[in-house]
Amino acid sequence: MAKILIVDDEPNIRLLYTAVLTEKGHEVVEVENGRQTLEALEREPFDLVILDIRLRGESGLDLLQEIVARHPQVPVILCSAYVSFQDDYTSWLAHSYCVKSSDPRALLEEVERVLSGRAARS
Amino acid sequence: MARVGDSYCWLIADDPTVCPYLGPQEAHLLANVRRRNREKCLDCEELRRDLADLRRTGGPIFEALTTILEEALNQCRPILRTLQIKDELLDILRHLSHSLQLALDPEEILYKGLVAFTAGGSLGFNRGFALLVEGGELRGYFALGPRDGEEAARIWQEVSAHGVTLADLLRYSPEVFAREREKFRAWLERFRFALTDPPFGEVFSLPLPRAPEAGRVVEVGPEKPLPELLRQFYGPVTFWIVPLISHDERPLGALLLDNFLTGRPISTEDRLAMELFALEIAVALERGLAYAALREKVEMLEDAYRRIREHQQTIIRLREEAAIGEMVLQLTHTIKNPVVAIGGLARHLHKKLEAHSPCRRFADAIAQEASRLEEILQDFVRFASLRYAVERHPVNVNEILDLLVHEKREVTRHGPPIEWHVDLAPVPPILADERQLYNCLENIVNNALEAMSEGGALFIESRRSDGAILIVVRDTGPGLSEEAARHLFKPFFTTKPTGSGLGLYTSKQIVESLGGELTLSCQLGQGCEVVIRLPIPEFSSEVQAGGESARAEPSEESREG
Repeated sequence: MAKILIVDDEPNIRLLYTAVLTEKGHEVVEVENGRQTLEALEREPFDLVILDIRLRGESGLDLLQEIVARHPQVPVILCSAYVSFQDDYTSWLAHSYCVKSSDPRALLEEVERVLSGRAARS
Repeated sequence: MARVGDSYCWLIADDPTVCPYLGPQEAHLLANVRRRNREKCLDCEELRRDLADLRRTGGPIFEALTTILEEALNQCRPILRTLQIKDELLDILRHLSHSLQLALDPEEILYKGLVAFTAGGSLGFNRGFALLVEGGELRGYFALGPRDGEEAARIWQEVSAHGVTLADLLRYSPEVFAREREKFRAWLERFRFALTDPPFGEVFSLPLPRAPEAGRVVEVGPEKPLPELLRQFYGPVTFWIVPLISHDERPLGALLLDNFLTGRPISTEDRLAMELFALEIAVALERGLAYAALREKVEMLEDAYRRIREHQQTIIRLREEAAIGEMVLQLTHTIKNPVVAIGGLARHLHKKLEAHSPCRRFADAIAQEASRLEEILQDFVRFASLRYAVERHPVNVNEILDLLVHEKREVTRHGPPIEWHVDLAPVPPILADERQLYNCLENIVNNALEAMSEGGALFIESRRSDGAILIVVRDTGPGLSEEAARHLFKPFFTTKPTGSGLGLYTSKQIVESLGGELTLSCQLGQGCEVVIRLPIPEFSSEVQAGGESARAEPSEESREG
């Protein structure tokens, strides 16, 4: 059971992630841009952020830097349509990467891996 | 015959019996008594005898007349001989001019020039050498003539036996040229003199002649100071140097002529003729050399033009490819999100439906089709990124340098000797395309190696300095002028005739695309140094320290899911 923040500008992607994550028993909060993300993180504690690398009108990587700077304790899984995000070294900040897929298993595995690592560390 | 009745043979016309000295070609002189007297009788013993008789029998008036006549004859003879020589010289000059008119090949021009100097009895030097100015010095180019008396006798015999004419001799062929050159090749190859060496310094500094006596032909006797090699060749033999000079007074070459067999001296008239010949040869030679230089330039320009066109096409192609690549990536990105949502939600729907619901099959089908679309998109991206895009990964500069040094050492093993000084201090990784960075460094190392065509030392260093990685490549080649160094990073600039001129330009572009800078400093005579400064990514050191490989390099599985 963890509290997860989903950052994606596509409502149907959020719908999908929320569906598969709540099914696993996680509590999910959805936001669609940087401002909402930072507000949510200020407002309440999260165990994990799932962040889309491409947000409408802003860069997910810039947001990633903000999140790491303000909330270094919160792990981030960076989601991208393809692997090209590695071109920017800012992406190294993320704890984990996940390539978007209609098959949710990869995402769920990444979530479990990061959460269990965090649990082991804390 | 002399006396014929009351008359003399030299007074009688149209009687073939009076003069036995007329040849078959001279029958016309039978009728033309005055001309016969002029051309035949003046040198005839019969006339001389008759005149002596008249002097004796005819009284003092005849004695005075015959004395005057003899004196006049004595004065005429050398003039006639000179005229004959001038005739021949003019004939040779006419042939030479005619023959050189269309000649553009320096070999042909010098061959014909030396033929003119050595043929016939008028100038008829025994032997001639042609030296050409190349790379600021006089170099042996061609020689014509016998090596010794025996060979000379054979040649002269052949020439007279076969009735060889000047026109025949002037007929040039590369085979004859090569055969003649071969005879003196050993000397020709060693003949290399500075333009200031005596006696050439004197030859080329003479002012334009105003009178034949002050001409440009220089006689070199056995006492004249000479380069050792020339003295060795000529020994005590006198020879003459005829300079070949361009219209604007540039030295083009020199002809060395001698009479090593006959020892014949030359006259003032000969000098004049030599200068006329030399002028003719120099004009042709200047034209020939200019033509050759022009042709070379034209070829170079054509080559450069072809290369520029190729590069332009390459650039256009790369631009198009980059545009296509960008388009493919954009498109696939745009499509990917909806496909993920469709497929993912269909899967979820499938799960949520009752096991026996007929709708499960529909949800399943939607999910399958979405998966297929995803695979197709994935293939597209893979293709586009392989084909068009640069892929950056964390790379260690030292590993690339190691690889490069290893490779280049192997390649240059058999070339000029290179001392390798490689000093690589530990540096953090940077994000770069490995192959691109390799190319970038390879261009620079290649440039340094090419600069040291005679061998030298190559220094390659890497170290960390002020939040950056420094890579230094230094050679001990001849260096570059400031002017050339300034142009070095412009595209298509090259000091090599075969380079594309894109190497260093490309390197600089790559370094700059990595947020770094590339500087070059050169000193003429001391080599060049290239310094590359690559910024260390802010988190690179953390990555290195943490050693958490997943953060730096997600494994294939985690990416693909």
